[in-house]
Amino acid sequence: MSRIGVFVCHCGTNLASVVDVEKVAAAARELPGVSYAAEYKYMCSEPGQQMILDAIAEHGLKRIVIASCSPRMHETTFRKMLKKSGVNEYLLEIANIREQVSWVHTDSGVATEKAVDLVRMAVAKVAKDEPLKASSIPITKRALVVGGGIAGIQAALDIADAGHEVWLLEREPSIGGRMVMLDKTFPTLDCSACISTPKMVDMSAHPNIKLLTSCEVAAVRGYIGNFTVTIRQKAKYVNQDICTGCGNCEEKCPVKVKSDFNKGLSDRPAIYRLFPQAVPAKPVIDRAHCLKLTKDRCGLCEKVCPLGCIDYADEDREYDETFGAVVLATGYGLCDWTAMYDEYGAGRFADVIDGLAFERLVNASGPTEGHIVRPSDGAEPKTVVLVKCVGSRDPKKGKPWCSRACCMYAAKHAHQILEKIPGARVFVFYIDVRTPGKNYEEFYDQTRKDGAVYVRGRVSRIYKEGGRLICQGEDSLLGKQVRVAADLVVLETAMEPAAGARETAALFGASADANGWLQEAHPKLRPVETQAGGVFLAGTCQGPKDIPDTVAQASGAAAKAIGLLNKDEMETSPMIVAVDEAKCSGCGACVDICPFGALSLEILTAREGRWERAERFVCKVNAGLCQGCGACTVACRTGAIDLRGFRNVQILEEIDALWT
Amino acid sequence: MTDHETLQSLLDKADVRQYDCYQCGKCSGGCPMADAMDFGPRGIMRCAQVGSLGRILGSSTIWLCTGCYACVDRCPHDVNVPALIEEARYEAARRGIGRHDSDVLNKVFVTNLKIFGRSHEMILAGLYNLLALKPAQDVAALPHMLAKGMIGIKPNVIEGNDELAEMMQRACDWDKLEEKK
Repeated sequence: MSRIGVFVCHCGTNLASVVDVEKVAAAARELPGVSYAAEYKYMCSEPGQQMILDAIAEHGLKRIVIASCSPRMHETTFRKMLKKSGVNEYLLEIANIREQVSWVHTDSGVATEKAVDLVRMAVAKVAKDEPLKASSIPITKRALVVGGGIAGIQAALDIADAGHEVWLLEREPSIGGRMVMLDKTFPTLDCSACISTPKMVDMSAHPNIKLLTSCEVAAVRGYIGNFTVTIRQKAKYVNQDICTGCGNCEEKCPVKVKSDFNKGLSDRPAIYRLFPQAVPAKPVIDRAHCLKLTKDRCGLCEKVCPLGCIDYADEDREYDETFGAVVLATGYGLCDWTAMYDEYGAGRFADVIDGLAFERLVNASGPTEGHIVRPSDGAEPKTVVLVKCVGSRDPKKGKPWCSRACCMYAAKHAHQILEKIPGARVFVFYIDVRTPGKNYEEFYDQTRKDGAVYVRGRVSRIYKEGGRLICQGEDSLLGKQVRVAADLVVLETAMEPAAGARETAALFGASADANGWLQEAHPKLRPVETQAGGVFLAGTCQGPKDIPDTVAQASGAAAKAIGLLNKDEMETSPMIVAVDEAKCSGCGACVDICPFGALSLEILTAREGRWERAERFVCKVNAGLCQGCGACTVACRTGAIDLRGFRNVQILEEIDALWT
Repeated sequence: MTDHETLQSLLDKADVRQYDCYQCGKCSGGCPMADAMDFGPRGIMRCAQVGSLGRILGSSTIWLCTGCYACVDRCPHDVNVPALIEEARYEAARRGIGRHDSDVLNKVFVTNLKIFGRSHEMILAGLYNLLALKPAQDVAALPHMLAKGMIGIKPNVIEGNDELAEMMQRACDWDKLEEKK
């Protein structure tokens, strides 16, 4: 006698309004092996759980079936409950009669019938369940943060302050990301560099933090608790241990390259620091433009370096390190509007710039030392047009999302222009003004009081006439076409996921959504976790957001990483595969198909007598790596591999129950 | 059919979904005829969203649209406003609320083609001005256009114009047959 108990949940009215729960419980009582069945309003609640525990004690139940919501929701809840009862927590099956029944059916008769079927299958399977025991693996107490923008910096500092070792990996030669490019930040107008560079210095000085710049993630093996990451250190050609950052080489280098950091508004040498306050404050050589490296000429930097730091023979290196937790903070890029907006000149007009270029223009440490001028002739613009939603909210151009920060930074741009240029006129073309943040609406209000004219309509076309840029659009509140002759046009362009973010996330087993933003495990309740255990998300890699939200999410991701690193050992799921060596033919089909590298072939000495010795290959399972996906059980020709908790015999029993 | 159903059928025929439009105004902003129109393309979509067929059919917009498709090209949601306008023109004509001058131009144009096989601008403009009761329209441009040879006095009749006239007659009859169905 199996002594199975079946418990049917109402889930308030979620289930009970469609499924006849009493009928399901009554049908369950008739099933073979079932000694007790009951229903209750909320099985997951404390009285619900107590009811199950009482029934186990009273009726001597040995195996439990709970018909309720998806096992993703409450399987762990009920397993924890069973630990108190003496019944092994793996002698439990959940029949999902909410997501698979009541939420998808409207006909009560059909729904109840299906619920009974699902319960019958669960009862058949639970009868074949075996008690399982979780084991544990040690955790590497070190975190890896990928991306050195404000999200990565915040996450790294929080984890390091909690006492754990953190490595921060950045592909650029300096940390700082986008935030250090900005001038002032809304809504408080504090200087972006003044609040981010001290954090960068804290990073470089922190005893628990190791900074890896000009680095990339090349490969990842392993899983939560023990990720073995292959780090590719790109050649810097400057010995970073000796270099003091005196700057002689940067002054003497004859090469001029358009500075990406200044959005092409100024030049930089081929041996350079990303910006004067870069951390680490030491130059690197841009190998694509260095005369020595490309044409074997020049060599000036080597001659002028007083410490002999220059090493033209430096090469990319790869090495492996192990981490227990990973925070992805890969950030965003701005969309290339020149490739998408022919109607705005597609980059033909020098005085049509994007918002980040404007940030460099208005920035005291930028190429113009904070003077807002036209890139074409250096004149001060008197009329400026700001165009919002360039790229954002534009499904035809592949970006249906709202970039969230543009409404506010456009208001900030308008404010800065009106403040810095006396008598200037600013027109802001918008579709909707979105200001959902603390003190945001007040800031927008102030900008209108400053004199910015908001025009409700998307600019349709920008063309040149008499040396000025004509922005033509509709004032949709007036219902009239308008044309504004501007000296400078700033396009507030869309955020998009940083190049390579999807690929980097995939190395760690995390995924991206259709638009390329990294996917959180649950949009509301698990916003900083991914489906890959031990991999957390911080900042704009997960979706467009502003600095306050980015920093908050980074601290959230750090808290999750700290929680993981605080454990010495981690319980692993016992639902992993086991190999029947007698049946295994050593073909290796399972080894090839395993996505986690958990399987390998080993030599087994099959027979050893006095005169003969036969050896053959058999499959071995690494319990620390196996995630119980079951792919190998399907590939195995001899049926030698079985997944504990989902053994072939259990699944067949389930299917058989459907036909009886 | 109620007006609501008629509007929906026009939208269906034009393959336009009114909810696709979020009223950004990029269409009206770039429309070359917007200054002369009452609603403009965005306004037409607004009328469709609030279900006001009467406003659409009575508007000058549907008769002034040149079908240049600048609006569709720039629309972030690819809303085909000219297709809806085309359907609205048919419906207006069915109800007899087409604009008198547009009707006149159409008739004069077709007659012109039937006689000469190609449009003769002098006769087209002259007849239109007379019948539309706008005798002075564009007259000031006449000397300039004559002097530059942009229009001529002598009609130019193509070879086989009678065959073209027959084809056009058949096309007109076909339209009537379609409407009866």
